[in-house]
Amino acid sequence: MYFSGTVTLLLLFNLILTGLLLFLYYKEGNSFAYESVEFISYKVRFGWLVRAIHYWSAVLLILSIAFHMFSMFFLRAYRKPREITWFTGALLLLLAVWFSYSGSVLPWNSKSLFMAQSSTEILKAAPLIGNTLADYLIGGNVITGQNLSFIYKVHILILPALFSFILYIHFSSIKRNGLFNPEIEYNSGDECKKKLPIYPNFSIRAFLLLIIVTDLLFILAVFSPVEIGIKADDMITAPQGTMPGWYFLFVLQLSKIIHLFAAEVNGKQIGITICICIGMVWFLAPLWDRISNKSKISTFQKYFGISVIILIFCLTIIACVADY
Amino acid sequence: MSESNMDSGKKTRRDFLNYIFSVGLFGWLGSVLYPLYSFVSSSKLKIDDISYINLGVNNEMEINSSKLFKINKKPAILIKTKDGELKALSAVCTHLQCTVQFNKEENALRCPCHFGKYDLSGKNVSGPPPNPLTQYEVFVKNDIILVRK
Ligand code: FES
Repeated sequence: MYFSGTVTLLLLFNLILTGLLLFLYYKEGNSFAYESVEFISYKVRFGWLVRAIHYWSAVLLILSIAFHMFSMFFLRAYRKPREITWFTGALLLLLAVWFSYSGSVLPWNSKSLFMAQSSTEILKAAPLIGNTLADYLIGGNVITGQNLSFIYKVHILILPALFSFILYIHFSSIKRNGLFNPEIEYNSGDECKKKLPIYPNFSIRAFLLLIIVTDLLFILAVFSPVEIGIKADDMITAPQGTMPGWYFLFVLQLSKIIHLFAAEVNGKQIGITICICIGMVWFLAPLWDRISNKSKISTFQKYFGISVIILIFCLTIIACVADY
Repeated sequence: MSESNMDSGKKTRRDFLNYIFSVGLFGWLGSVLYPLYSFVSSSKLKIDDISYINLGVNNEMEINSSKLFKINKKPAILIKTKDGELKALSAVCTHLQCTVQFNKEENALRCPCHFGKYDLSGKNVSGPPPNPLTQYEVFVKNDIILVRK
Protein backbone atom coordinates (compact mmCIF):
# COMPACT_ATOMS: atom_id res chain seq x y z
CA MET A 1 0.00 0.00 0.00
CA TYR A 2 2.89 2.34 -0.53
CA PHE A 3 1.41 3.00 -3.90
CA SER A 4 -1.70 5.06 -3.20
CA GLY A 5 0.01 6.96 -0.41
CA THR A 6 2.97 7.80 -2.61
CA VAL A 7 0.80 8.93 -5.49
CA THR A 8 -1.09 11.15 -3.07
CA LEU A 9 2.14 12.70 -1.87
CA LEU A 10 3.36 13.30 -5.40
CA LEU A 11 0.10 15.00 -6.30
CA LEU A 12 0.44 17.10 -3.19
CA PHE A 13 3.92 18.07 -4.31
CA ASN A 14 2.59 19.13 -7.72
CA LEU A 15 -0.23 21.00 -6.07
CA ILE A 16 2.04 22.96 -3.76
CA LEU A 17 4.43 23.81 -6.56
CA THR A 18 1.77 25.05 -8.96
CA GLY A 19 0.00 26.77 -6.08
CA LEU A 20 3.12 28.75 -5.26
CA LEU A 21 3.50 29.65 -8.92
CA LEU A 22 -0.09 30.88 -9.17
CA PHE A 23 0.44 32.82 -5.96
CA LEU A 24 3.01 34.93 -7.82
CA TYR A 25 0.36 36.40 -10.09
CA TYR A 26 -3.00 35.97 -8.44
CA LYS A 27 -4.56 39.08 -6.96
CA GLU A 28 -7.34 38.80 -4.43
CA GLY A 29 -10.44 40.92 -4.20
CA ASN A 30 -13.58 41.56 -6.11
CA SER A 31 -12.09 43.76 -8.78
CA PHE A 32 -8.84 41.90 -9.34
CA ALA A 33 -9.44 38.21 -8.91
CA TYR A 34 -11.06 37.51 -12.25
CA GLU A 35 -8.75 39.86 -14.10
CA SER A 36 -5.65 38.31 -12.63
CA VAL A 37 -6.79 34.81 -13.53
CA GLU A 38 -7.45 36.05 -17.03
CA PHE A 39 -3.98 37.54 -16.99
CA ILE A 40 -2.47 34.27 -15.82
CA SER A 41 -4.28 32.33 -18.49
CA TYR A 42 -3.65 34.60 -21.45
CA LYS A 43 -0.55 36.59 -20.76
CA VAL A 44 1.78 34.73 -18.46
CA ARG A 45 3.66 32.16 -20.45
CA PHE A 46 2.38 28.65 -19.69
CA GLY A 47 0.02 30.24 -17.19
CA TRP A 48 -2.91 28.24 -18.56
CA LEU A 49 -0.83 25.09 -18.11
CA VAL A 50 0.11 25.83 -14.52
CA ARG A 51 -3.48 26.69 -13.71
CA ALA A 52 -4.83 23.57 -15.34
CA ILE A 53 -2.26 21.39 -13.59
CA HIS A 54 -3.19 22.96 -10.27
CA TYR A 55 -6.82 22.19 -10.97
CA TRP A 56 -6.27 18.63 -12.08
CA SER A 57 -3.88 17.83 -9.25
CA ALA A 58 -6.58 18.95 -6.85
CA VAL A 59 -9.16 16.68 -8.48
CA LEU A 60 -6.80 13.72 -8.54
CA LEU A 61 -5.62 14.44 -5.02
CA ILE A 62 -9.09 14.08 -3.59
CA LEU A 63 -9.64 10.92 -5.62
CA SER A 64 -6.36 9.42 -4.53
CA ILE A 65 -6.87 10.28 -0.86
CA ALA A 66 -10.29 8.68 -1.12
CA PHE A 67 -8.81 5.62 -2.82
CA HIS A 68 -6.06 5.43 -0.22
CA MET A 69 -8.67 5.62 2.52
CA PHE A 70 -10.95 3.02 0.96
CA SER A 71 -8.12 0.55 0.55
CA MET A 72 -7.00 1.14 4.12
CA PHE A 73 -10.56 0.58 5.24
CA PHE A 74 -10.80 -2.79 3.54
CA LEU A 75 -7.37 -3.82 4.76
CA ARG A 76 -8.61 -2.86 8.20
CA ALA A 77 -5.45 -0.84 8.63
CA TYR A 78 -7.15 1.42 11.14
CA ARG A 79 -6.93 -1.17 13.90
CA LYS A 80 -4.88 -0.68 16.99
CA PRO A 81 -2.33 0.92 17.21
CA ARG A 82 -3.00 2.84 14.00
CA GLU A 83 -6.14 4.75 15.02
CA ILE A 84 -4.38 8.10 14.93
CA THR A 85 -3.19 7.48 11.39
CA TRP A 86 -6.73 6.67 10.38
CA PHE A 87 -8.34 9.67 12.06
CA THR A 88 -5.79 12.14 10.73
CA GLY A 89 -6.07 10.63 7.27
CA ALA A 90 -9.82 11.12 7.26
CA LEU A 91 -9.36 14.71 8.44
CA LEU A 92 -6.92 15.26 5.59
CA LEU A 93 -9.58 14.16 3.12
CA LEU A 94 -12.03 16.67 4.57
CA LEU A 95 -9.39 19.38 4.41
CA ALA A 96 -8.64 18.48 0.79
CA VAL A 97 -12.32 18.90 -0.07
CA TRP A 98 -12.33 22.22 1.75
CA PHE A 99 -9.25 23.23 -0.21
CA SER A 100 -10.92 22.38 -3.47
CA TYR A 101 -14.10 24.15 -2.48
CA SER A 102 -12.36 27.36 -1.46
CA GLY A 103 -10.09 27.20 -4.48
CA SER A 104 -13.02 26.92 -6.84
CA VAL A 105 -14.29 30.36 -5.78
CA LEU A 106 -11.01 32.16 -6.31
CA PRO A 107 -11.12 32.57 -10.13
CA TRP A 108 -14.32 34.50 -9.52
CA ASN A 109 -16.10 33.44 -12.66
CA SER A 110 -19.81 32.96 -12.67
CA LYS A 111 -19.80 29.24 -13.27
CA SER A 112 -17.50 28.45 -10.37
CA LEU A 113 -19.32 30.92 -8.16
CA PHE A 114 -22.64 29.25 -8.89
CA MET A 115 -21.08 25.89 -8.24
CA ALA A 116 -19.70 27.04 -4.91
CA GLN A 117 -23.01 28.62 -3.99
CA SER A 118 -24.74 25.36 -4.73
CA SER A 119 -22.24 23.44 -2.58
CA THR A 120 -22.75 25.96 0.20
CA GLU A 121 -26.51 25.45 0.02
CA ILE A 122 -26.03 21.75 0.62
CA LEU A 123 -23.74 22.33 3.59
CA LYS A 124 -26.05 24.90 5.08
CA ALA A 125 -28.87 22.37 5.00
CA ALA A 126 -27.02 20.31 7.59
CA PRO A 127 -29.03 20.44 10.81
CA LEU A 128 -27.59 22.37 13.79
CA ILE A 129 -24.10 22.88 12.40
CA GLY A 130 -25.00 24.05 8.90
CA ASN A 131 -24.94 27.81 9.36
CA THR A 132 -21.97 27.85 11.70
CA LEU A 133 -20.13 25.71 9.22
CA ALA A 134 -20.88 28.18 6.44
CA ASP A 135 -19.58 30.99 8.65
CA TYR A 136 -16.25 29.28 8.98
CA LEU A 137 -16.07 28.14 5.40
CA ILE A 138 -16.90 31.35 3.61
CA GLY A 139 -16.90 34.00 6.30
CA GLY A 140 -20.61 34.73 6.03
CA ASN A 141 -23.93 33.48 4.89
CA VAL A 142 -23.39 33.79 1.17
CA ILE A 143 -20.36 34.19 -1.03
CA THR A 144 -19.86 37.79 -2.10
CA GLY A 145 -17.04 39.86 -3.44
CA GLN A 146 -16.35 40.98 0.13
CA ASN A 147 -15.55 37.61 1.57
CA LEU A 148 -13.58 36.58 -1.48
CA SER A 149 -10.41 37.73 0.26
CA PHE A 150 -11.41 35.82 3.40
CA ILE A 151 -11.73 32.67 1.30
CA TYR A 152 -8.41 33.41 -0.34
CA LYS A 153 -6.63 33.74 3.00
CA VAL A 154 -8.18 30.51 4.18
CA HIS A 155 -7.01 28.83 0.99
CA ILE A 156 -3.42 30.00 1.12
CA LEU A 157 -2.70 30.39 4.83
CA ILE A 158 -5.04 28.63 7.18
CA LEU A 159 -5.69 25.46 5.20
CA PRO A 160 -2.04 24.82 4.30
CA ALA A 161 -1.05 25.32 7.95
CA LEU A 162 -3.77 22.95 9.18
CA PHE A 163 -3.05 20.46 6.44
CA SER A 164 0.69 20.33 7.14
CA PHE A 165 0.10 19.99 10.87
CA ILE A 166 -2.26 17.07 10.46
CA LEU A 167 -0.08 15.53 7.77
CA TYR A 168 2.80 15.72 10.22
CA ILE A 169 0.82 13.82 12.83
CA HIS A 170 -0.24 11.33 10.16
CA PHE A 171 3.37 10.66 9.24
CA SER A 172 4.74 10.57 12.73
CA SER A 173 2.16 8.01 13.68
CA ILE A 174 3.06 5.98 10.59
CA LYS A 175 6.69 6.23 11.61
CA ARG A 176 5.92 5.05 15.12
CA ASN A 177 4.02 1.96 13.97
CA GLY A 178 5.83 1.26 10.73
CA LEU A 179 4.16 1.28 7.33
CA PHE A 180 1.12 -0.90 7.21
CA ASN A 181 1.96 -4.06 5.34
CA PRO A 182 -0.89 -6.53 4.88
CA GLU A 183 1.47 -9.42 4.22
CA ILE A 184 3.16 -9.00 7.56
CA GLU A 185 -0.10 -8.29 9.34
CA TYR A 186 -2.09 -11.21 8.06
CA ASN A 187 0.37 -13.91 7.08
CA SER A 188 2.83 -13.46 9.93
CA GLY A 189 5.27 -15.60 7.94
CA ASP A 190 8.89 -14.71 8.47
CA GLU A 191 9.71 -14.66 4.80
CA CYS A 192 7.34 -11.73 4.40
CA LYS A 193 9.14 -9.55 6.87
CA LYS A 194 11.52 -8.24 4.28
CA LYS A 195 11.42 -4.50 4.06
CA LEU A 196 11.70 -2.56 0.87
CA PRO A 197 14.93 -0.57 1.12
CA ILE A 198 14.41 3.19 0.72
CA TYR A 199 17.37 3.46 -1.61
CA PRO A 200 17.49 2.48 -4.43
CA ASN A 201 14.33 0.38 -4.70
CA PHE A 202 11.81 2.72 -3.18
CA SER A 203 13.30 5.97 -4.49
CA ILE A 204 13.43 4.69 -8.04
CA ARG A 205 9.85 3.55 -7.86
CA ALA A 206 8.83 6.87 -6.40
CA PHE A 207 10.68 8.73 -9.12
CA LEU A 208 9.05 6.66 -11.84
CA LEU A 209 5.70 7.36 -10.26
CA LEU A 210 6.52 11.06 -10.21
CA ILE A 211 7.15 10.93 -13.96
CA ILE A 212 3.91 9.08 -14.56
CA VAL A 213 1.85 11.34 -12.32
CA THR A 214 3.32 14.51 -13.83
CA ASP A 215 2.78 13.24 -17.35
CA LEU A 216 -0.79 12.35 -16.55
CA LEU A 217 -1.34 15.86 -15.20
CA PHE A 218 0.23 17.36 -18.31
CA ILE A 219 -2.04 15.31 -20.53
CA LEU A 220 -5.15 16.25 -18.59
CA ALA A 221 -4.11 19.90 -18.51
CA VAL A 222 -3.41 20.07 -22.22
CA PHE A 223 -6.51 18.22 -23.36
CA SER A 224 -8.88 19.61 -20.81
CA PRO A 225 -7.71 23.03 -19.68
CA VAL A 226 -9.72 25.02 -17.18
CA GLU A 227 -11.94 27.67 -18.64
CA ILE A 228 -11.97 31.30 -17.62
CA GLY A 229 -15.66 31.95 -18.16
CA ILE A 230 -17.50 35.15 -17.48
CA LYS A 231 -16.74 37.39 -14.55
CA ALA A 232 -18.93 36.54 -11.58
CA ASP A 233 -21.61 38.86 -10.37
CA ASP A 234 -22.54 38.17 -6.77
CA MET A 235 -25.88 39.95 -7.15
CA ILE A 236 -27.16 37.20 -9.40
CA THR A 237 -28.26 34.03 -7.65
CA ALA A 238 -27.41 30.69 -9.12
CA PRO A 239 -29.97 29.44 -11.65
CA GLN A 240 -32.10 26.43 -10.76
CA GLY A 241 -30.36 23.13 -11.19
CA THR A 242 -26.80 24.37 -10.80
CA MET A 243 -24.50 21.51 -9.90
CA PRO A 244 -22.35 21.68 -6.77
CA GLY A 245 -18.68 20.70 -6.80
CA TRP A 246 -18.23 17.15 -8.09
CA TYR A 247 -17.31 15.89 -4.62
CA PHE A 248 -20.79 16.89 -3.42
CA LEU A 249 -22.73 15.45 -6.32
CA PHE A 250 -23.67 12.29 -4.46
CA VAL A 251 -25.20 14.31 -1.62
CA LEU A 252 -27.27 16.30 -4.07
CA GLN A 253 -28.39 13.19 -5.91
CA LEU A 254 -29.33 11.48 -2.67
CA SER A 255 -31.47 14.45 -1.64
CA LYS A 256 -33.12 14.49 -5.06
CA ILE A 257 -34.01 10.84 -4.73
CA ILE A 258 -35.41 11.41 -1.23
CA HIS A 259 -37.41 14.29 -2.59
CA LEU A 260 -38.79 12.02 -5.30
CA PHE A 261 -40.21 9.58 -2.79
CA ALA A 262 -41.34 12.06 -0.18
CA ALA A 263 -42.06 15.38 -1.79
CA GLU A 264 -43.09 17.14 1.39
CA VAL A 265 -39.81 16.72 3.28
CA ASN A 266 -36.71 18.83 2.90
CA GLY A 267 -34.67 16.51 0.71
CA LYS A 268 -31.41 18.41 1.10
CA GLN A 269 -31.57 18.38 4.86
CA ILE A 270 -32.28 14.68 5.09
CA GLY A 271 -29.74 13.90 2.39
CA ILE A 272 -26.89 15.69 4.12
CA THR A 273 -27.92 14.29 7.50
CA ILE A 274 -27.76 10.75 6.17
CA CYS A 275 -24.37 11.45 4.60
CA ILE A 276 -23.00 12.93 7.81
CA CYS A 277 -24.23 9.93 9.82
CA ILE A 278 -22.71 7.42 7.42
CA GLY A 279 -19.53 9.49 7.40
CA MET A 280 -19.36 9.40 11.21
CA VAL A 281 -19.79 5.64 11.30
CA TRP A 282 -17.06 5.28 8.69
CA PHE A 283 -14.79 7.69 10.51
CA LEU A 284 -15.21 5.94 13.85
CA ALA A 285 -14.47 2.49 12.42
CA PRO A 286 -11.52 1.85 14.80
CA LEU A 287 -13.87 2.29 17.76
CA TRP A 288 -16.66 -0.07 16.73
CA ASP A 289 -14.75 -2.67 14.76
CA ARG A 290 -13.64 -4.67 17.78
CA ILE A 291 -13.78 -8.02 16.01
CA SER A 292 -11.11 -7.14 13.52
CA ASN A 293 -8.86 -6.23 16.40
CA LYS A 294 -8.76 -9.89 17.22
CA SER A 295 -7.61 -10.61 13.66
CA LYS A 296 -11.01 -11.85 12.60
CA ILE A 297 -13.03 -10.40 9.79
CA SER A 298 -16.12 -8.50 10.72
CA THR A 299 -18.96 -9.10 8.26
CA PHE A 300 -20.60 -5.82 9.13
CA GLN A 301 -17.39 -3.95 8.41
CA LYS A 302 -17.10 -5.61 5.01
CA TYR A 303 -20.66 -5.04 3.86
CA PHE A 304 -20.80 -1.56 5.30
CA GLY A 305 -17.66 -0.59 3.37
CA ILE A 306 -18.83 -2.11 0.11
CA SER A 307 -22.26 -0.51 0.29
CA VAL A 308 -20.85 2.94 1.08
CA ILE A 309 -18.58 2.80 -1.92
CA ILE A 310 -21.31 1.53 -4.24
CA LEU A 311 -23.68 4.20 -2.94
CA ILE A 312 -21.27 7.08 -3.51
CA PHE A 313 -20.19 5.75 -6.87
CA CYS A 314 -23.69 5.13 -8.23
CA LEU A 315 -25.11 8.41 -6.94
CA THR A 316 -22.29 10.38 -8.54
CA ILE A 317 -22.73 8.57 -11.84
CA ILE A 318 -26.49 9.11 -11.80
CA ALA A 319 -25.98 12.80 -11.05
CA CYS A 320 -23.55 13.16 -13.97
CA VAL A 321 -25.80 11.29 -16.36
CA ALA A 322 -28.89 13.22 -15.26
CA ASP A 323 -27.03 16.48 -15.82
CA TYR A 324 -25.95 15.37 -19.23
CA MET B 1 28.35 -2.05 -17.47
CA SER B 2 30.62 -4.95 -16.61
CA GLU B 3 34.36 -4.57 -16.60
CA SER B 4 34.94 -6.84 -19.55
CA ASN B 5 32.72 -4.79 -21.78
CA MET B 6 34.42 -1.58 -20.75
CA ASP B 7 37.77 -3.10 -21.57
CA SER B 8 36.86 -4.33 -24.96
CA GLY B 9 35.39 -0.87 -25.70
CA LYS B 10 32.31 -2.38 -27.30
CA LYS B 11 28.91 -0.92 -26.85
CA THR B 12 26.57 -3.34 -25.23
CA ARG B 13 22.81 -3.47 -25.25
CA ARG B 14 22.88 -2.15 -21.71
CA ASP B 15 24.90 0.91 -22.73
CA PHE B 16 22.45 1.58 -25.46
CA LEU B 17 19.48 1.38 -23.11
CA ASN B 18 21.24 3.56 -20.56
CA TYR B 19 21.84 6.11 -23.26
CA ILE B 20 18.25 6.08 -24.46
CA PHE B 21 16.92 6.39 -20.94
CA SER B 22 19.19 9.28 -20.00
CA VAL B 23 18.25 11.17 -23.15
CA GLY B 24 14.61 10.54 -22.35
CA LEU B 25 15.06 11.66 -18.79
CA PHE B 26 16.76 14.89 -19.76
CA GLY B 27 14.14 15.55 -22.37
CA TRP B 28 11.47 15.07 -19.75
CA LEU B 29 13.22 17.31 -17.25
CA GLY B 30 13.58 19.98 -19.90
CA SER B 31 9.93 19.81 -20.84
CA VAL B 32 8.98 20.27 -17.20
CA LEU B 33 11.52 22.92 -16.30
CA TYR B 34 11.07 25.10 -19.37
CA PRO B 35 7.40 25.96 -18.65
CA LEU B 36 8.33 26.57 -15.02
CA TYR B 37 11.10 28.94 -16.00
CA SER B 38 8.93 30.78 -18.55
CA PHE B 39 6.14 31.12 -16.05
CA VAL B 40 8.33 32.69 -13.41
CA SER B 41 10.14 34.93 -15.87
CA SER B 42 6.86 36.42 -17.07
CA SER B 43 6.86 38.60 -13.98
CA LYS B 44 7.79 41.65 -16.03
CA LEU B 45 4.34 41.66 -17.56
CA LYS B 46 1.78 43.87 -15.90
CA ILE B 47 -1.75 42.95 -15.17
CA ASP B 48 -3.26 45.74 -17.27
CA ASP B 49 -1.58 44.14 -20.24
CA ILE B 50 -4.62 41.98 -20.75
CA SER B 51 -5.66 43.58 -23.92
CA TYR B 52 -9.33 42.74 -23.92
CA ILE B 53 -12.32 42.54 -21.67
CA ASN B 54 -14.73 39.63 -21.57
CA LEU B 55 -18.34 40.78 -21.79
CA GLY B 56 -20.22 37.54 -21.66
CA VAL B 57 -21.99 35.25 -24.06
CA ASN B 58 -23.09 36.83 -27.32
CA ASN B 59 -26.19 34.66 -27.64
CA GLU B 60 -27.46 35.72 -24.26
CA MET B 61 -27.45 39.41 -25.15
CA GLU B 62 -30.72 40.63 -26.58
CA ILE B 63 -30.96 42.46 -29.83
CA ASN B 64 -31.47 46.22 -29.48
CA SER B 65 -30.07 46.31 -25.96
CA SER B 66 -27.03 47.70 -24.22
CA LYS B 67 -24.73 46.92 -21.33
CA LEU B 68 -22.48 49.21 -19.34
CA PHE B 69 -18.99 48.04 -18.42
CA LYS B 70 -15.68 49.52 -17.40
CA ILE B 71 -12.63 49.98 -19.50
CA ASN B 72 -9.52 51.32 -17.78
CA LYS B 73 -11.75 52.27 -14.85
CA LYS B 74 -14.00 54.45 -17.01
CA PRO B 75 -17.55 53.57 -18.03
CA ALA B 76 -18.13 52.26 -21.50
CA ILE B 77 -21.17 50.89 -23.25
CA LEU B 78 -21.74 47.84 -25.38
CA ILE B 79 -24.66 48.01 -27.79
CA LYS B 80 -26.25 45.28 -29.84
CA THR B 81 -28.09 47.04 -32.65
CA LYS B 82 -31.32 45.98 -34.32
CA ASP B 83 -29.35 44.07 -36.94
CA GLY B 84 -27.40 42.25 -34.23
CA GLU B 85 -24.24 44.24 -34.78
CA LEU B 86 -22.04 44.86 -31.75
CA LYS B 87 -20.63 48.27 -30.91
CA ALA B 88 -18.48 49.30 -27.98
CA LEU B 89 -18.12 52.98 -27.17
CA SER B 90 -16.81 55.03 -24.33
CA ALA B 91 -19.81 56.03 -22.21
CA VAL B 92 -18.25 59.23 -20.94
CA CYS B 93 -19.98 62.19 -22.46
CA THR B 94 -17.50 64.55 -24.11
CA HIS B 95 -19.39 67.51 -22.74
CA LEU B 96 -19.23 67.24 -18.94
CA GLN B 97 -18.41 63.57 -18.41
CA CYS B 98 -21.85 62.22 -17.58
CA THR B 99 -22.51 58.59 -18.46
CA VAL B 100 -24.43 58.28 -21.70
CA GLN B 101 -27.33 55.83 -22.13
CA PHE B 102 -28.70 53.83 -25.00
CA ASN B 103 -32.09 55.02 -26.20
CA LYS B 104 -33.95 52.23 -28.00
CA GLU B 105 -36.67 54.39 -29.51
CA GLU B 106 -34.31 56.90 -31.05
CA ASN B 107 -31.75 54.23 -31.86
CA ALA B 108 -29.13 56.60 -30.50
CA LEU B 109 -27.14 57.41 -27.39
CA ARG B 110 -28.45 60.08 -25.09
CA CYS B 111 -26.67 61.91 -22.34
CA PRO B 112 -29.12 62.48 -19.45
CA CYS B 113 -27.37 65.61 -18.18
CA HIS B 114 -27.86 68.08 -21.03
CA PHE B 115 -29.48 65.88 -23.65
CA GLY B 116 -26.48 65.50 -25.83
CA LYS B 117 -27.15 62.98 -28.60
CA TYR B 118 -24.76 60.63 -30.34
CA ASP B 119 -25.45 58.17 -33.11
CA LEU B 120 -24.49 54.53 -32.76
CA SER B 121 -21.06 55.06 -34.25
CA GLY B 122 -20.36 57.56 -31.46
CA LYS B 123 -20.68 60.70 -33.58
CA ASN B 124 -22.04 63.71 -31.70
CA VAL B 125 -25.28 64.51 -33.54
CA SER B 126 -26.94 67.23 -31.51
CA GLY B 127 -26.79 69.01 -28.16
CA PRO B 128 -23.77 70.32 -26.31
CA PRO B 129 -21.18 67.51 -26.78
CA PRO B 130 -18.20 68.90 -28.69
CA ASN B 131 -16.56 65.62 -29.72
CA PRO B 132 -17.52 62.10 -30.74
CA LEU B 133 -17.24 59.15 -28.33
CA THR B 134 -14.24 56.89 -28.62
CA GLN B 135 -14.98 53.59 -30.29
CA TYR B 136 -13.49 50.34 -29.11
CA GLU B 137 -12.89 47.28 -31.18
CA VAL B 138 -15.34 44.45 -30.44
CA PHE B 139 -15.07 40.91 -31.61
CA VAL B 140 -16.72 37.62 -30.85
CA LYS B 141 -14.71 34.52 -30.16
CA ASN B 142 -16.36 31.21 -29.25
CA ASP B 143 -19.55 33.17 -28.76
CA ILE B 144 -17.92 35.37 -26.11
CA ILE B 145 -17.93 39.11 -26.65
CA LEU B 146 -14.49 40.63 -26.27
CA VAL B 147 -13.57 44.30 -26.33
CA ARG B 148 -10.03 45.39 -26.96
CA LYS B 149 -8.73 48.03 -24.59
S1 FES C 1 -22.59 66.09 -19.88
FE1 FES C 1 -23.43 65.05 -21.52
S2 FES C 1 -24.53 66.61 -22.52
FE2 FES C 1 -23.62 67.66 -20.94
